[in-house]
Amino acid sequence: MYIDVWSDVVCPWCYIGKRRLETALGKFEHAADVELRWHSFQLDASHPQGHRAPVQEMLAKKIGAPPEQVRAMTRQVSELAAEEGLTYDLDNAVSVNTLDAHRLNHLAARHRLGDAMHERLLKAHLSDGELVDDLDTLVRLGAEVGVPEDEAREVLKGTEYAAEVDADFAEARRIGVNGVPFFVLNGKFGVSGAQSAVTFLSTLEKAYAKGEE
Amino acid sequence: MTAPALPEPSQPSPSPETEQPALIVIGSDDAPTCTDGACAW
Repeated sequence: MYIDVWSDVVCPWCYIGKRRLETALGKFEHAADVELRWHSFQLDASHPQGHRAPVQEMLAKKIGAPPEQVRAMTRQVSELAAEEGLTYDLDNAVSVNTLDAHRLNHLAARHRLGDAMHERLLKAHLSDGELVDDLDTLVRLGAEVGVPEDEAREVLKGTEYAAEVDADFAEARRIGVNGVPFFVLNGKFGVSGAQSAVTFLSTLEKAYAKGEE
Repeated sequence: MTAPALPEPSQPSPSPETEQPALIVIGSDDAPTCTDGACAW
């Protein structure tokens, strides 16, 4: 059984959704048979590469809200993240272009480290205030989960896996994904957004039963 | 004498895209997501 997940490493709901799915998998009888496949979805591919801005500032500009309103919004999502055992630090998160982070995730997936890499990238941006567009930072984060440093550096200095990032996005559009996280179980069942662990578990059971028919 | 009937035009084969069954989407519609450049904060 496989689960295809579209996500961006700067997406607060993606990390929450990942945890809720993992909670469901913890209760799913056939979890050992489940393979997670992470797919790239850049929320803002037009964000200029190299441009960095604090998330709070970027949000204030984007929605035209005063700083205190933005802080209230990010506080709310941080509280929901805390319910899943996640510590968000959105006051220190920096908005960047995520193409290179996704390219690294594809390289990691080739080493069967896609899930660990995506987890580390989400944590780096949402909890640790790391710059997930910085070459040395990405190489270090990759090494932390087992991606060979030399290989990561070589890939990130070039354009390798950019086509795979584009292809993931095109596939998302083709199947009607407009927002992330988005989960597709066995190619048949779609789950949109950070649904509850209960919803994930019931969908896992449905997808598994359908696969056994 | 009547002209022979023209053969029926063949139906175009469905593309792989149209052959693929639509996803069955499960769960509430209001689960939070992030869309292009904006999140449901």
